[in-house]
Amino acid sequence: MPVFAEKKENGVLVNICANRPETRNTTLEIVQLKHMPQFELIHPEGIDINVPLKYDPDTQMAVLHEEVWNAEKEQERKDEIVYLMRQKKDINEAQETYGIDYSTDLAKLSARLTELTT
Amino acid sequence: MSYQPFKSVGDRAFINLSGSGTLQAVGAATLDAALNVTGALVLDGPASGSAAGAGSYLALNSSGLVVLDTPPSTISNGSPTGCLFSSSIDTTVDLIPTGSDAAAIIPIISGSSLLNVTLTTKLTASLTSSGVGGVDVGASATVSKGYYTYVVTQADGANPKLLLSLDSRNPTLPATYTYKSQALFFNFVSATTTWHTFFNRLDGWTYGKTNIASNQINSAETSIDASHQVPAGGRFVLYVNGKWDQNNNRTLTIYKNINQTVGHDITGESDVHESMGSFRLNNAGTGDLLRDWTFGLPAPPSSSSDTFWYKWNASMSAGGASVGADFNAIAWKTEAFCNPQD
Repeated sequence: MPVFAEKKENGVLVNICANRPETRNTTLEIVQLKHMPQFELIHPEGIDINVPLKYDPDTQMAVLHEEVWNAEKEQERKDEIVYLMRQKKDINEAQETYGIDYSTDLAKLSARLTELTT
Repeated sequence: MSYQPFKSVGDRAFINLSGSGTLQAVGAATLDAALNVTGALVLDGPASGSAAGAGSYLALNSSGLVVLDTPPSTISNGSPTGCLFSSSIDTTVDLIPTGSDAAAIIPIISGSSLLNVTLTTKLTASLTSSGVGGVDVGASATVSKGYYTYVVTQADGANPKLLLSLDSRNPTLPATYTYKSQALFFNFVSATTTWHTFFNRLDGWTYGKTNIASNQINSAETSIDASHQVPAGGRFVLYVNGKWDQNNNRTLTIYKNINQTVGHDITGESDVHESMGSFRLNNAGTGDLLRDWTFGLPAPPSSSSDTFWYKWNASMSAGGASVGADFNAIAWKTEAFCNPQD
């Protein structure tokens, strides 16, 4: 079964399926794959989490686009650190203002921050 | 010299109708009372026509005469029962009779002749064999395609075997084989000519995971061709994962294929109201995930490559590299198990 995909400028493949080129409404380059991607082999965080894929001309298969994937994961890490820092600041302010004990929540935040920054 | 038929012979007993003696009917002769037969009664079929043969029964014709008749070919024998498909070798599939008395009962048809074949022993077919017990065309199965499994027999249901075919209704029957069942089992053949891992149940459902499409990002209504991944005319359960990583909502809509009409609109059309999922950037600043969204869909007949449609409600171009939707089939059953009572 022929499988086709559309290749974006950064090399990421989208719309990977059996739909034939003549049925596609796209300006992107279309490449033909030998088979559908084998999720178990190319999804490092589980088969139910979407990842960027690229075309491997040697095998004519879709493989993990590691460069884009790593950049995406790094951006997510940075965004989460900022989010947790803001949350920590807000919790400290609430604790000081109202005298409520947030120690358990703060401990969880600190643990996650340590995990993300070491 | 012609003669007139007698109208009444009273209660006289004829005791010498042996040998070549024949009661000859002239015109629409009938008996107007009970016919008592103390010996064996053999009913012969007509010299021409379709009456008699396997499955024949006594019926009244339009003149009220008792005749031998056969059931119409459109009569339903119901769904197959007791069919369990399994495999301990990834290139073969077994039909294991698992119904009452460890039997499987399967309707088979040849032209207008419909029979039930009863199996009590296991049947096996291999992706790497040809003919009965293998694939119907070629020396072995073609990789990355879905194969249908049939029970085929010789005349009168003799010598039942399994047959594998890419065709959802009309496998190429091996020489001397004239009867075929509906496709009973469907599964995808991997790039290494092995079955995808599966688990089959007696109700016809097969559970596995077949990737249909990845990273789908179109915001226009787009059909997806899954004609090799799900059984034509059957049903399947679609399993969707998606991702969107921007701070606004995106809605993913799935449309089933309806209105396939042979000779009129064989590709069908999408309905206008189907399953929808809406999601956006999550609080932690990472892309939100649509995970494990599952629902059942009808698979269109083999004439259609528009298995279903999807649409994002707005452009996905602002998203990161891994946004979009993945579609998988995680359960399916063939047309044979899609009767109204199933």
